[in-house]
Amino acid sequence: MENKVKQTFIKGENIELWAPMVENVELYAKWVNSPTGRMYSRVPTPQRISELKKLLEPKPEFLVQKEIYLEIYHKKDEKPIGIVGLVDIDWLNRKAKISINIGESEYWGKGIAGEALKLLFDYAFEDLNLHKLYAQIYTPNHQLIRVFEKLKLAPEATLKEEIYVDGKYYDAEIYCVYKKEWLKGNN
Amino acid sequence: MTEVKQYPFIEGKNLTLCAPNLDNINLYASWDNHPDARKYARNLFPATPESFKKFLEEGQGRTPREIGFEIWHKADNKPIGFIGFNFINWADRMGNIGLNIGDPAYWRKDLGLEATYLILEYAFNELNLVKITADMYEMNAPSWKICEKLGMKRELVYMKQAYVKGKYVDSYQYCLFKEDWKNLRKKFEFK
Repeated sequence: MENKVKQTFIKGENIELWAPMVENVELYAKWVNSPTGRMYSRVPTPQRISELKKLLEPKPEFLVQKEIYLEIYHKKDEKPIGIVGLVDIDWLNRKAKISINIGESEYWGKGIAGEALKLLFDYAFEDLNLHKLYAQIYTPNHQLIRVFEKLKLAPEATLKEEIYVDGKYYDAEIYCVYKKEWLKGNN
Repeated sequence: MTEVKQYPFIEGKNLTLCAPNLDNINLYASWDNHPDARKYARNLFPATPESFKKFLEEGQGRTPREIGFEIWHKADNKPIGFIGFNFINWADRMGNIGLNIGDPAYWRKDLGLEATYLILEYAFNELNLVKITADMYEMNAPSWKICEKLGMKRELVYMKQAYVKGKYVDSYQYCLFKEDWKNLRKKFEFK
């Protein structure tokens, strides 16, 4: 890891958000395929390294990106520990879906997801000028529901029996955050 | 000439703005090449139907960087020009518009004014943009007069920006904000 060039994109207190790097794609593959992690982020089929590499390829129209991924880099431990991002970006209606995966499970329950999402929301509303962010999570994902509630996201809708996990259907909750409320709460 | 079809997308008083039609690429190229029309837009190089074909075939999804419309004359039942966004910046919510009434027989009839009015309505009410800009050269009085009639402001002058017929001319940039359009639009009856 010596001589590594930092790709810091957003600075936080305990973490930074870095531009994703193709040299870390094996790490990303480990995270998205991990049996416990993928249970929550709903990745039902194995993700190949070649497919993940495609996600990182430069897009021809950088102003109209459909998705943006950032690596969550732990400052003290000096290593990437997960991925956070915006997917399904809809520029006309100015909304996007939130995606987060703390891939290294020893960092769970330490407030990392909350900090990463806070940095992501600031970026989405202040830099990208988006109007609304939403997340769809399935009801047994209590950890993430608690993170959302701490960040004052509100459940907006319940989709009945939306997701099939481990032999059974579960409801999905849509949590939302709006630009005007987020910026008011932070200033 | 075979029958030309129109695909109306926005309905105006005298005009409709239609989805571009691959059958009409020869017509589109001829508008950009027309000696009288191209001197205003300063099209220095010949336009080919193939370049329009390529532009139309490259789908750009639901939030494209460029959007073009054929301007259709309702009474005469034929396409007379092109209008659209040269680029859209979705994060800043800005668009830059361009207009060409390609058939000079339809000049000086306020048709450019109506087409621009329709594109502004579309920009603010449907595309959710907040600022629209338009660029033109100083000798293109028909275009900047349209902007002034609509209440757009000349926010920039690029000095000696283009070389036209042996001398350098300025280029103007006009702009309009959504919050100002709410009142300005009431003067017109194009819908």
